[in-house]
Amino acid sequence: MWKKPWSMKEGFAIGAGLIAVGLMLQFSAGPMWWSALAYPVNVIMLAIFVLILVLAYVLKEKVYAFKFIKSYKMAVPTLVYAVVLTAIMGLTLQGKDMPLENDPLGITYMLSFWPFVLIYMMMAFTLGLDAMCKIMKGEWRKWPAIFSHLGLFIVLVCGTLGSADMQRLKMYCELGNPEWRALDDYKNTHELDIAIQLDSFTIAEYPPKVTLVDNKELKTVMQNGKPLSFNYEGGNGETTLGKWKVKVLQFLDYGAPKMANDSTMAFEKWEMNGAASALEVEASNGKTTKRGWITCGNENIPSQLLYLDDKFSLGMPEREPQKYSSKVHIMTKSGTMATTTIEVNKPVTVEGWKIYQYSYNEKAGRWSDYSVFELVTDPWLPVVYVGIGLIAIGAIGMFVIAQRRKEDEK
Amino acid sequence: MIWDYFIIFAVAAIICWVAGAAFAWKSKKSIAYGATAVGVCILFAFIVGLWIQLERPPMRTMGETRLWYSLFLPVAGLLIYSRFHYKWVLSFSTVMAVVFVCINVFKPEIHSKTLMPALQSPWFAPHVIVYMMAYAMLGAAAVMAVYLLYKKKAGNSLTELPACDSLVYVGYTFLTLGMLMGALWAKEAWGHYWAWDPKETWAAVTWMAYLGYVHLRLGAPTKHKSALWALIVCFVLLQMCWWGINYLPSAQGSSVHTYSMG
Ligand code: HEM
Repeated sequence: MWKKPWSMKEGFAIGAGLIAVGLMLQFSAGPMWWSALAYPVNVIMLAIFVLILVLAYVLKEKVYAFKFIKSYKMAVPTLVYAVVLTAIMGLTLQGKDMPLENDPLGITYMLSFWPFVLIYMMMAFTLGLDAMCKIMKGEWRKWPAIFSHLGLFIVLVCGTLGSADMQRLKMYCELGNPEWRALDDYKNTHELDIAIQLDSFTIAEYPPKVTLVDNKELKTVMQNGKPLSFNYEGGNGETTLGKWKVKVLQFLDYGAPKMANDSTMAFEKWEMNGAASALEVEASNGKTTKRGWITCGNENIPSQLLYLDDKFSLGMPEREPQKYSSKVHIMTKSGTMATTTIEVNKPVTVEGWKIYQYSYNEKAGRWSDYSVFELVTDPWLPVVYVGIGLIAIGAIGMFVIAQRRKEDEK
Repeated sequence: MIWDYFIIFAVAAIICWVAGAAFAWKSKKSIAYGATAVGVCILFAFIVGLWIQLERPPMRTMGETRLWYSLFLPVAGLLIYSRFHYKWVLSFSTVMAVVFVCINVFKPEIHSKTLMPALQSPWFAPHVIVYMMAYAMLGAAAVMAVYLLYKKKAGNSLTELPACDSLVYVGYTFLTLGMLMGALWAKEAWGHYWAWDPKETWAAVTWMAYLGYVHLRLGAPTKHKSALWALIVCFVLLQMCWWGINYLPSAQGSSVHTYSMG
């Protein structure tokens, strides 16, 4: 070993060395402290990193190590180490922003585990150096590699350095009250230049379901891998569940129990806060016919099954939400005022903040009296998107190369 | 419910694929192409029907993604066959597709119309379809690797290794596009493009592993055996990403992607 030209063996040895250095750092300095990289430190770090890259580029003929770094013999070991460390991350339960308590090594917060950080830095270094060499040499025939390497370089470097500038805050908005304060993950309050007033919060729900329930396990009965249930979509929705013919007599989207003469509840229409949906059903197995109300219940109203026989009952599982949406007024200090609707998957962008529907009063369900929004800013996002675009072009380039190779073969 | 008719579509498609594979052995190329393509169309018709009936893309459960996988395997088989004319390719893709179809016959896991709000996105369909295309290509490459390892042991030369490379390159294209679409979608749905959720972590592992293969082949084109083993390891990692994480304790409850169990 270490006789020039170096081979992949030396590459693996260098990678092992990086991991050893990383472990020493981990034990002496503790996990990597990403939050310390907030602006302007990250910009300075970026400048230093690029400067070192340029230096490496200039010296690559003089310093053999630099030349070696941008060869396959270093790239393959780097990728192997990255795969192994990332797989360990995927196999272990990860802490939220620090290692778990019973982990002296630090691998339960891999993102701050120094060997992991150093290997990814090595990868970024290789990518940057190789992209620079190819561009300066004008090797545009290798455009798929150039785009991919440059793109991944940008995503890795700017994504990690930028993460310290990213802010994610939660804003709890009660119906009718404008709110401008938001909490970070550590429950610190931030006063923002944006205020949000919740005008209304609605949940659209999927149609109710009727399921055959096992009395012992209180679980939906499965048959051939499929649950015995059906979605009620209007009409009398006649079906068979197991041995029972089931018919829906009445559906109340908003209902409440009225007094009944035996211990079970009957329902009537009640369109007010606290209502639950309920179905009046009739089930018959040829011998007996049972009739009654089932409901998924809610905070105030207990759920109710219809007892069929010793083994089975009919039940109505909690209705699944189809859409949460919050109608809001948004006001900013600079005087903008807008009314809009915020939904899951449809965030709203205002003055550099993206506002997401995050949560609501889950106990109250559709009667929720507040809505929680997540407000996110990420000043480095446009740069990362440029990197993502470059990787995408590079990926299409790989498709083209596959075709080109086909032609070469012929 | 259209699912009750799946067995009919499945049997029809399988008959076509088996016929296609048989004609490939007899070197009747155009019939082999035609029969396999008809089989693909039949299964595709079923998927479209299911899509319409469910009123949502059939991609939420493992069962539903398996449906797409069994659709794309014969497509991958056709692509390889049209390029390299190996007689065995269609047989392989048929056997694999049949296995996945059978799993779906016996364990459908296709439950309901409901789609949680986070999944209601224009990114959902292309994200999953592109990933399944990638999985089919990379699965074909892995099968080929096993075949080549066996062939190499018998002392033959490996003229087919470039075919593996092409499959991986095309697979890489789809894998990458799927991952990037996932990132853009995650930004819209969860506020960040990459959150190191267990599924994302394993997607990164898989992606880098295939990059490892690509660079190994570029840098050491004569290391055949390492390359073939690398392909197999890559495919094992891909299984982790696809369904393995559903069984990982580290992913339970913490992954936004484990809804595929439901
Ligand atoms: C983002 C996905 C990537 C793609 C699509 C990609 C693709 C390629 C291609 C096609 C080449 C051959 C260029 C040619 O000579 O025509 C290449 C070379 C190379 N790649 Fe990558 N690569 C990627 C990521 C990486 C990573 C992560 C590393 C580092 C760990 C890396 C390191 C290298 C090196 C060192 C070379 C050889 C440069 C030379 O000797 O000319 N690549 N890459």
